[in-house]
Amino acid sequence: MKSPVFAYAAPNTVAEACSLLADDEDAKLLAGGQSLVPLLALRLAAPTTLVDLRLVPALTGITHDQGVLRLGAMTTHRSIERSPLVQDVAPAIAEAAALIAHPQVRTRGTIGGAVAHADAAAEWPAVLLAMDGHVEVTGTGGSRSISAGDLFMGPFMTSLEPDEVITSVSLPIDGREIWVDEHQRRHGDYGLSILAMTYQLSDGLITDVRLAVAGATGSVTRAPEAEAALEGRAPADSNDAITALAAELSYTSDIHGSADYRRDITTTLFQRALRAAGERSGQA
Amino acid sequence: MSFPHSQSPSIAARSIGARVPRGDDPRLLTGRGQYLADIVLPGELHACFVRSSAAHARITRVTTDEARALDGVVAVWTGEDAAKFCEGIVGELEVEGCFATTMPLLARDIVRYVGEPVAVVVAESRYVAEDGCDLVDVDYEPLEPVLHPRSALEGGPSANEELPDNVALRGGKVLGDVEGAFNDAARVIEATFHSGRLSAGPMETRGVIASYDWTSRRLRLWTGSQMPHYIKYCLTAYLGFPENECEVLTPDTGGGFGQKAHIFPEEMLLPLLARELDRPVKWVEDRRENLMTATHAHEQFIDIAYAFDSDARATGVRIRATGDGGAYHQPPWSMGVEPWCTAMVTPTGVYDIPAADLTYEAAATNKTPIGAYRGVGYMAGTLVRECLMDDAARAFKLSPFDIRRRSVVREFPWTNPQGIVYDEGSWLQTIDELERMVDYPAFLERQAALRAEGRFIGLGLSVFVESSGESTAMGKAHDLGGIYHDTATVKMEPNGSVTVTIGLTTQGQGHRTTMAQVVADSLGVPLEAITVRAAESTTYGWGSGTVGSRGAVIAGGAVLRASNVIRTKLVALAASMLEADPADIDLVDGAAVVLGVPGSSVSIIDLATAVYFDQSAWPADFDPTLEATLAYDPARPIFSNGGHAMIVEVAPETGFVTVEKVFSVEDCGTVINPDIVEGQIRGGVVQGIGAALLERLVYDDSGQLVTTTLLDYHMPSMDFSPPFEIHHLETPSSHTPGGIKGMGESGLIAAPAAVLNAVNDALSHTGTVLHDIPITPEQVLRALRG
Amino acid sequence: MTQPAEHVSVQVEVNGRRYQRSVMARLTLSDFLRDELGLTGTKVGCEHGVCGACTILIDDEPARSCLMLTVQADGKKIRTVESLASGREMSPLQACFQKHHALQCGFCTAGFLMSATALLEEGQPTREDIVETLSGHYCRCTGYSPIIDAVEEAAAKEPS
Repeated sequence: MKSPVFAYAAPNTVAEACSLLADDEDAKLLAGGQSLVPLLALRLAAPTTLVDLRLVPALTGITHDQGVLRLGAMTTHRSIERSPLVQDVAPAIAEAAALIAHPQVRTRGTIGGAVAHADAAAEWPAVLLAMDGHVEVTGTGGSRSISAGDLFMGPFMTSLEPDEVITSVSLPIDGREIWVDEHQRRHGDYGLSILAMTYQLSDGLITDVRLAVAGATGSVTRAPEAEAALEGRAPADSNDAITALAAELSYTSDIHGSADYRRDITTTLFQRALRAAGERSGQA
Repeated sequence: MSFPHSQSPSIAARSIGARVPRGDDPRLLTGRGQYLADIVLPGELHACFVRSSAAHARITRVTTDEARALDGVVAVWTGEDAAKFCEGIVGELEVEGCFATTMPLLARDIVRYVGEPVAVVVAESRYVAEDGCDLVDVDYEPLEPVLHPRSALEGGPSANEELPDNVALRGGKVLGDVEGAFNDAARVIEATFHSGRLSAGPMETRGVIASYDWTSRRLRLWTGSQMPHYIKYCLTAYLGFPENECEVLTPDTGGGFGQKAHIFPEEMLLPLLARELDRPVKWVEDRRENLMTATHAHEQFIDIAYAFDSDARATGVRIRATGDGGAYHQPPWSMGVEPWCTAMVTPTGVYDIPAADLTYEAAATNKTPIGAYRGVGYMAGTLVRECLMDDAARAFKLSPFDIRRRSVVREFPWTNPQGIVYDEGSWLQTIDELERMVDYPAFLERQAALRAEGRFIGLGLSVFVESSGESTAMGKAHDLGGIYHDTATVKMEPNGSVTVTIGLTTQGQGHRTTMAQVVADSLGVPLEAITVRAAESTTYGWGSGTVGSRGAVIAGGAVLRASNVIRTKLVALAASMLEADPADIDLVDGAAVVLGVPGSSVSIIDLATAVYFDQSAWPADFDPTLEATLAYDPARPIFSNGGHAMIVEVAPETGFVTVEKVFSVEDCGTVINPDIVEGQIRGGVVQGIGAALLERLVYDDSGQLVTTTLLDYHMPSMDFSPPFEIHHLETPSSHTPGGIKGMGESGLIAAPAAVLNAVNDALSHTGTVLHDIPITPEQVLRALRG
Repeated sequence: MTQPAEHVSVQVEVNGRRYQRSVMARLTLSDFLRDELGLTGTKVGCEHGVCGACTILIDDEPARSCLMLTVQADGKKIRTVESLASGREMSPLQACFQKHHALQCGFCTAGFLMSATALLEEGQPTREDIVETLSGHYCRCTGYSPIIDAVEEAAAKEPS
């Protein structure tokens, strides 16, 4: 299990990285490498060039400004989990980071890498979708911002152009409630189901809800019918939404669980989220 | 049978029984262990295998030109190249109804399982060897894969044309009045079980290094094998290397658990490559290869029924055990030992069941060969027996302890219907002790209280008897062929220090420490003065393999016999020097002392020095050889016993099962080192929890193995580790050194049944009873939801 | 270093010693430590980042050395199991492993020790912290509970 041959470059600027990507259509970006290096070892990926972002300055770091939590693409899961800033303004995000794999992987894996990898069983894509996050990207043609809804196209597929680099991830911090939870069979396993939900609570009613599911479905996905069914309801009055969530998504089967099972445990995750909403509503 | 090498001298336990820390540990803890991959020979080449991507196919073409042309590639061999030297390795089990197969070193014409080696690329580095493998092109013409053992035995295509009807093994016996027992039964409790396909999953994968010197015809082969002497024998038998010039070396080994107790094509191929290429060749298996090809284990389909009389006593058993054997017999254990042992040995267990109808069979299938893994045959057999005991307890409305007490054997020696004699045991006491440890009434109370809160806990029980100290007598008792004996050498140096060489390799069981404890008590020397070499080279001694829970008994017996020769000489010399009767001399605390005469003593160091340098101190006719090599093979089969009780909780949200607590009772006779025995229990039990809740090798409908990485083959991690309470019973064997019995497999033998029973107890309000392992969260959730 | 190349130059500090080497870009850090530097105490158990045997400390944080290319460690400080004993004395953690019989075959042990070392350096871990951190390591021999006990005892001894 040794990687095939590739050429390696570690550029010093994003622009250089983009042009290296543009120069070789089989080039791939290397961030933390926690997903890419095993794929190389298994020879399931065989890029001709690896473009390593480790020397590009200003790709790490966490800021909170004007209601936006901005995470540099090369920020590790571990840094996010342990960031006093994140723990202060959005503790649910720090907790979500701690759900990813094991500490020994979180010290190296990055949010930008995980988002670009778009694994259907990864946490960050679900968080981005539920929070209506954005990624800032730069390509040879310039920079743009892509909303999570426009970014994830399917399992391991994004709308990034081949020469584009994610430079940061932005999550709005606007007083909406955030909930991220998952069912892992063992500590650190890929989630059998991951659920991320954001919403407003006013007068005991849930509004403006965004619900995203990963792990249980073929790719990370919103659940618009469940969202609609929950709109304006009290957390306890959520049977329609629970039914909708079970019905509207296309759950996947594999050796770790059938589609029916994944539907059932996604429902229990949703119920937990609603119970938590009920508790928050009671505290308010 | 009575031969001198079956007699073991007596020994006074002093160091034996103590929690002696392992001498190996500082070396291993500081990174100084030398495992196979850590060994680098000058000029070594690296081998990597091209493996079949098809379950069953005709090879129409193998193109190697591009690989050969790659810079750094030294050689590429295909099946034709290997067959020039060796047709293959022959496997079968020496029991009635077994049909042999020949496994080629590299597949020729036909591939029979995914992962079967088809070609080997040898290169200057492992990286380049893998590049070369990518350039080897194999064309396959698909053949129908045979994937289901029971339908395979009914006909249809053959998995391996050597076995046209797919029958690799078939036989059985009817003992006692089975018909009568079932006709008269008050109840028949029966079920069909599936015990899943497992990987032993040692942390260190397999690996081989071969080095050949044409000037001396000397072959050296490093392999982390549990059976190095057998491998050496095969080097001569299959490949024709002169036995006197073959040396098999066993470095530190990262676990074996039975997987490394076979010979593999890779081990036979590398010596040939080293000889023909005239350079050392190394192969280190990667994890994907390990999961795909390093023998699978334990998978069986089992139909079993027990007849019970109106007193809830078991009166008869019927069993049909079918192994899903894979494409070949992997020598020496083969696909046969698993279902054979389950059917022929385990159905009666610790119970007095007078009638038994026993059928075993193994089907050839287009899957990886099945081999031995800790508790081979016993685990599945204990699973089905103990699970039906709990089913019977529910049917008779008895506690799991009471149902077992109705049938448990209480008097020894006891002969079961298969004719196997059990000399002693604490079979009833095990059940009683577990009941006490669990505090059953308190458990029932807690279970009811939690149920009222919507939480579901369950208690599962599993008791076992385990054949241990695998020996010639054991084989004979079970109508199984094979001769087993092992030697040990004990040598005392002029300064009184001792070097011990045993014929058994160690894979982490701590033999170097436990054997030192035996020698310390035999010779009265301190542990620091003893060095034990555990078959690091086949140059010394003979061993039949670290298998069948035999290490402590067999090595212990050989060591004690050899040590006793030295002891006798030291005693004779001391008697002469102290002018005492040899019968009054004891060796203790570094000295020979005259019993009853305080102050009359001579140090062992002085004795050893006198043997080497002072003829004047010798008694008449003294032979100064302070080195002895002796064999050992116990006269009778040795059985240990015990049981586990487990409390589990099932989660209503997910169906996840958590093991809350494990209670273990172990009776392995005299305990040499409780730390090591308890380590074996905990490790085996957690493997059993893995087998019951997590681990499963899965094939798809085309015969592709789906679980080829550790992301898909789930082994227990630390969060699956329960707390343990362990209780030792000690019923010494009267036939082994100091009464020692083996126990290396007990944890895995009995734990899966305890887990399954505990889950079924947790689900008892639902009416669902599960009979397959691994138990999936989905099955549990379905049961809870009704 | 912006022209793509199959070989790269790396400078690392390993166990207090500095090394400069030219290596294949595809060489994993675990292979570098073992094959180039001869530090074979770090074991390779799966090469796809699951078993944890190859765990080392990079700038004091635990990481899987099989999941890193050597070049990704350029300029970093690495510690391996060979660094734990001081002089001829095992670290308290290593001594606790021996005392609790927390290793059998020893193949996974270096990884456990390195993750546990980082954990102990961060403060006083609870039993839950230990399980959370060390669940990223497989051991096939011990059943884990002695490892938890060993780390717990070492934590109690650790001067904080």
